[in-house]
Amino acid sequence: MTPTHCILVALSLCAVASSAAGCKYAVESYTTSDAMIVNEAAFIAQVSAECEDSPSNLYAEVEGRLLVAANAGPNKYQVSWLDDFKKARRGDYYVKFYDEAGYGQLRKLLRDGESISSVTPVHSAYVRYPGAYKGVWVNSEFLAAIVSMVVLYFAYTFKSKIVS
Amino acid sequence: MYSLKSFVIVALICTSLTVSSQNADSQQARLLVSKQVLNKLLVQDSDILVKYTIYNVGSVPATNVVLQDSGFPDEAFATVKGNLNIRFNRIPSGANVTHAVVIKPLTYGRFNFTAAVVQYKSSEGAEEPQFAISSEPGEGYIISYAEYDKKFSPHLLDWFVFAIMTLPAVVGPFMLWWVSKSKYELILKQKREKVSKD
Repeated sequence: MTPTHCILVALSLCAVASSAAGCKYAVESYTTSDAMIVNEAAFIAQVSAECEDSPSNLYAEVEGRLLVAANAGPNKYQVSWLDDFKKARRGDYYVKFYDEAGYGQLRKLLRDGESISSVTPVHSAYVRYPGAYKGVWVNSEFLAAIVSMVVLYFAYTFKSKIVS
Repeated sequence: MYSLKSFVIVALICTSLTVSSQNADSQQARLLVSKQVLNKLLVQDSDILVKYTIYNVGSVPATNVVLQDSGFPDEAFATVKGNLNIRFNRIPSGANVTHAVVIKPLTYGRFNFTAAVVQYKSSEGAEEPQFAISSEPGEGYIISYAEYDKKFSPHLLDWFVFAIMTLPAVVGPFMLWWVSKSKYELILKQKREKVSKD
């Protein structure tokens, strides 16, 4: 009855490529999907690195958007971006993480207008966005009115048949 | 009435607490911080999306930028995802960064969303950290889940119960009519059979 089921927790899926500098990354993600309550679709990916020499800065690239990860403690990072509910595409978003060197290369290539596929990310992951709940299609009041109309119609036609 | 338009429209307020000479000022990073609550409704046990945007309007990069928001007490809010205390090592001049956190109110009632505090180094050689205060989303009313459900749920169960309650009034007369009709038809049939036998 309630739309709570629509407030979905999207856990990030699998790690696709793994670390370059021996770091093991784990990504947990969340997206807001209840358009009845929230104004925008927020994508939050929390990254934790497991290694001795974790990068001091982490960057991310998702669908052409460059993001700077916030440091949220030792070996912990957070990448977040927002999108309009109308524009946000349902499905998996491929997020690539870069360290300082990779990000430098990436920016250079983007500035020159070249393909960025040659830069290897330190890690990549999928963030799943299940789509937004925008309320019910048909109001239940409306549906109830339609059903009562149908019942009324049948009753009347039946009655007129008997009377005639 | 619970609309948070006023929350979304944010006035960017920046306070730089230490202002030195004009000369040094031009070689400083200046951060403007906005804190926005991007919700149409504030509902108990449902997501509240808080967005922080930090703009560097200064001429040099800001380093060691620490954003701290202690405006959500543990007894009233739970963090769904994201961190309320974060650090950006460097925000270049002219750039902006955004940060989002999703929290969940545990209770309902009026709540004042206060400002977050940002601490940063305004230039490479700066010894004293600079403080900035974000914009304040202001006061908002968090409605209880029951109230939200009453207003916005599809009420399917309620309508189903209503349909069952109306059934006796519709089916009762129909059944009475049906029984008398079948009885009458039976009598008619028996009569017809009698006539045909004769």
